[in-house]
Amino acid sequence: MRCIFRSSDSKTNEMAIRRIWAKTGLLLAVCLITPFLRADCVGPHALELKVHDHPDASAFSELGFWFGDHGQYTCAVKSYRAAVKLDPRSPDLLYLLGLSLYSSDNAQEAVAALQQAIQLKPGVLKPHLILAFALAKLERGEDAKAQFEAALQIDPRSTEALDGFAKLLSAHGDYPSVIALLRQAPPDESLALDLADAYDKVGTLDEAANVLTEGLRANPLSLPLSNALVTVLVRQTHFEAAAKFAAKSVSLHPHDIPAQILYLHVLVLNDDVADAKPLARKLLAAAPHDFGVLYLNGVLEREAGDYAVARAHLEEAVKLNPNHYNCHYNLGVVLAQLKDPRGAKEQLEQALALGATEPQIRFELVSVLRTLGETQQAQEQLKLYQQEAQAKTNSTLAAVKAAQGDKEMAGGDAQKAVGFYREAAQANSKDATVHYKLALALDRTGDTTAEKSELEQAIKLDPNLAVAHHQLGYLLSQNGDTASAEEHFRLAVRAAPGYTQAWVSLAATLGIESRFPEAEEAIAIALRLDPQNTEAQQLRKDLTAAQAQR
Amino acid sequence: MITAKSGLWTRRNVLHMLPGAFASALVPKLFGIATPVTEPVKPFSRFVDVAATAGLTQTMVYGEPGHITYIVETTGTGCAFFDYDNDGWMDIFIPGGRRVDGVPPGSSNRLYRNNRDGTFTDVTAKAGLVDAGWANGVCVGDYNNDGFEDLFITYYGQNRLYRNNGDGTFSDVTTNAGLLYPHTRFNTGCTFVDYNRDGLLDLFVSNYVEIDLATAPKPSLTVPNCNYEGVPTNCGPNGLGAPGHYLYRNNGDGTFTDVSKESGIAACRGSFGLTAVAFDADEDGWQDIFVACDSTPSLLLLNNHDGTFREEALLRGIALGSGGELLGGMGVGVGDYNLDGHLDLVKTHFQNQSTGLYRNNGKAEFDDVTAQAGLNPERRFISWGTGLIDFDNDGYPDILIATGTVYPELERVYPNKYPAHSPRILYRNQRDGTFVELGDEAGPGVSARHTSRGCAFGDFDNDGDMDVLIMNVNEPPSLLRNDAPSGNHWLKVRLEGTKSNRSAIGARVLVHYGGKVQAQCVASQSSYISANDPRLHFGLGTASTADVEVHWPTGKSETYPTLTAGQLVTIREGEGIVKGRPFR
Repeated sequence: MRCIFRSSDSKTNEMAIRRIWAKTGLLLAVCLITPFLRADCVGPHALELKVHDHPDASAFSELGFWFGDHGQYTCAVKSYRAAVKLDPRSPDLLYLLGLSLYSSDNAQEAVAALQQAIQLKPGVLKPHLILAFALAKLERGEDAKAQFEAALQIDPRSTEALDGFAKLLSAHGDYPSVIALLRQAPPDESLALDLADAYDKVGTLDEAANVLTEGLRANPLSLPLSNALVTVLVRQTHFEAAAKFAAKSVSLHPHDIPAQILYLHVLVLNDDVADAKPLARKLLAAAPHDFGVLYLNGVLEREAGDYAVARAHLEEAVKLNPNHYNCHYNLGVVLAQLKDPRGAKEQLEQALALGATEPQIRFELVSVLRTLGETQQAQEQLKLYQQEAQAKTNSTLAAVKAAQGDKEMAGGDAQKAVGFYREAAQANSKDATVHYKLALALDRTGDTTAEKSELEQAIKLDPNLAVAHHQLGYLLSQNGDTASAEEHFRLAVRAAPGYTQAWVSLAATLGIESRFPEAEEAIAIALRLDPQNTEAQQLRKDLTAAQAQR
Repeated sequence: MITAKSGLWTRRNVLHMLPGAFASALVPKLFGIATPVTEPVKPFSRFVDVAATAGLTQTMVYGEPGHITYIVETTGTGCAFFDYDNDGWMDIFIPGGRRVDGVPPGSSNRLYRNNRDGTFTDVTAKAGLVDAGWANGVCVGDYNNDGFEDLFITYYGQNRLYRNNGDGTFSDVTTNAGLLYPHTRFNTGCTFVDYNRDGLLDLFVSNYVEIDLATAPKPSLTVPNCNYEGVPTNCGPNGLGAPGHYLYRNNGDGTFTDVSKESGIAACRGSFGLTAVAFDADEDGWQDIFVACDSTPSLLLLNNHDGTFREEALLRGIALGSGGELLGGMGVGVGDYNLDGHLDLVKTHFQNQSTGLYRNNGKAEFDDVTAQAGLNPERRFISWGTGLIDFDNDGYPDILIATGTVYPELERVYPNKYPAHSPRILYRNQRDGTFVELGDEAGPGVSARHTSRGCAFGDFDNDGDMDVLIMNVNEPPSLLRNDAPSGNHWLKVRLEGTKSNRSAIGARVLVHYGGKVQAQCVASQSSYISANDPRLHFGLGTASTADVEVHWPTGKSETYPTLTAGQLVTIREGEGIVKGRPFR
């Protein structure tokens, strides 16, 4: 899923940097005069001449920009270092030096330069932004967050800042904060992809689809948005709609091979064999060594019983991408059909080793092991198959019961919801969320003893379930156990630093304990996360009043 | 590429074989290049729906037309050809359904008496069979060995055993037979079977899902397994509980005892059971039971000869698809498609899954030959009733499949891909282990579109070819008269047990003709929760005589050489060929 949104975060950052380079400084007159300076860093002749004739900060800056604009970042660094040496109090030059250093993969030194730039001239967006990127690269997440927040204080609608911050939060798994950050964000392709990704990660595929659909409405030619929407629709098992969008995307971008491969994926999934076969053949001619093309052709050929050809394509696909377990699985099945049980066994075991959880892969292995006469291993695998299949059945049953519970809760019938959630917990006792939901339903019915027990169970199963910590903290607080409550609120914000309500609850608890500075600190974080949060605003007033009364 | 992510085992994505996210969806499936329909060398049967003129005019109510709220509205019903009045002509029984909000006027079981002139008379009321409910399957057998075929009907609710009184009426003897149970069950398949070879028909009942309509989930986009392709639909079976199945031992005094636990049947939980077929899969002389299961592994219950069964479908290649994938098993046909003398299975499945063909080596070891047989390309429709039946009497069993959606709501959004009504699928046996799908050339009865469930195969007009009765949801049934090409010969065999059960259910018959051998069996239920004409029909091709070998359910074998084609022979166990019921 993630890969469809973007190839990698670093690449996206790089694009942002490129954009920044493009927007930075004055437009330069492009000089096509033969350069004469050193061979390893040679700029246009005119700029080199200028530096030679007038070696001031401005000349070095112009040359540095030229290098930066042409992707020669090490050379840019040298030029900007020279410029900064000549004008060490220039925040602009320090920023450009920081930008060059960051671009040349020297985040450590970039941080120092950018911090100086910010110190000399606060309130400028870009130094904060690049500093945030650099800090993120150095894995100083909290510092990076602070810089993104500072950037957004300056320009709350900065797409680069929102995009960078969202990616940082996503990288830390804090998807609720991404959603909170981007829900009201300006229309932008990258931001829509970030937001949809976050919705996807928290399991709200409908919301992801809505965001992408809206994004496409604003930007109908966006291939990334279209591809992402197709992927979400497939994950929703809306194959017909996915096929429709994928076909449209291909018609809008007829020369885009990845779009066609995605379309082929959907056709294969949707059993549109009549359309899939010719497209597969066409793509095989156009991109004969593309993993996806080889794999999908192999799948189609295998399903058509054309095992020898399927084997060739799948073997090549496996070489290109040895970590794709379904490719190993398909190859395993093909080899089994071609009476090569030993080869099949190897491929199927590889698929399982790569983390495949589909029971049918294990079952196929059972068949192969039996063919090889390895009955003991076959029995063991069969047992595992049955266990895994049962676990999946139970998980599905639990999901349905939990969803029914959700509906009852939404409809206001907590008692019925309790019944469904209990059934869900019975079917899949290891699902922390179900226990949490059951706790909430029990809360509504007033059974706080059982609620506490369910919350503890939820936390036992998932110690990072912030909402459960928060609810348990609330429950403990109600019972006057503020120390334990504080502990759980702290665990909640540790697990989900963007969880505003948990910060408010922590602040309130600290306030009750008259630990006002800590409470102020917590409420400040809450208001930074959600400046309009009325509860936090009121609590800040109350804390101020309480301190005044002391 | 899109990375894998597990956890989306919704009902129909499993059936799309999509175990999770995008990449993991691409697990092997069996489909191939669409086989072009080629003109058969020799003429084939043509089918014409004569239901209306035959008097089969009563609408078979089942669920709300166009919109289904609960899965209980999707499974009904089967149908049966059986000779309730022993006049030698196939009568028709179809269980009666209902709607969620009640039983509409006119909805009932239907018993149609064969008038022996191509028409039928509705004798339901006279026979005492007026009733309606969430009926599902029907199985036929003479459980009390009195010479008259009895009926057992499964329900979402309480099953019914109707004893044939021999005077044109039936009595509901469920309570007296000890077949009542305290809680609501979703019973679907059933089969009479003499599992302990005492000459008495015992009873096996399969169950589908655990569901209580008071708390059952309804169509929803937010509840998993309650939507399909973005459209709210009835929920399940995934996400609903899987119940157990039941075996009742016939006590010989008109009562039954639940032996599910001691027989090992009760331990076989975890599958959504539909059609149940009893036959001797491993040819050891003892009855085995196969249960087609939806979205879960199908079950092969092998008889241990001591009153117990062991479930071995997974080990014997009949539980899952050829790539190990779960299939939506619905109906089962038993027959010998490749004329090797062993009983093979054809099993219908959900949409996007081809009908499976499983070759038996006689030891209950099955090979999935779906792809080799050419059945892979056809996967457009949800498939239900089926049979391995030689329609054109060329000596090679063909395949017919009844189809019908369970999601009528989809048609409004995707009319082409998910039509509410769909045609029958007919495969002609090409005599080389492969089949070819026939279209309009097989007649209007095949291409007509309905929402169908069970179908039964039998020769209702006693003209020497196999016709088809099809249950259509919220419509009158179809009765496809087979106009078989002339020139081929045939032989019908009707068995009467003496030591074995009177219906001879479970008997395996081998007929040798023209250098070939074909196996068939007498089954109480097959197709989709339906019952076929118990007279075994063998097309003989050009052969004018055949040798018949009978393996009775109690283990004894008999042979009858050089029987002349073009007749119905009645064989009484231990007595030989006897004068049977009239044929023409």
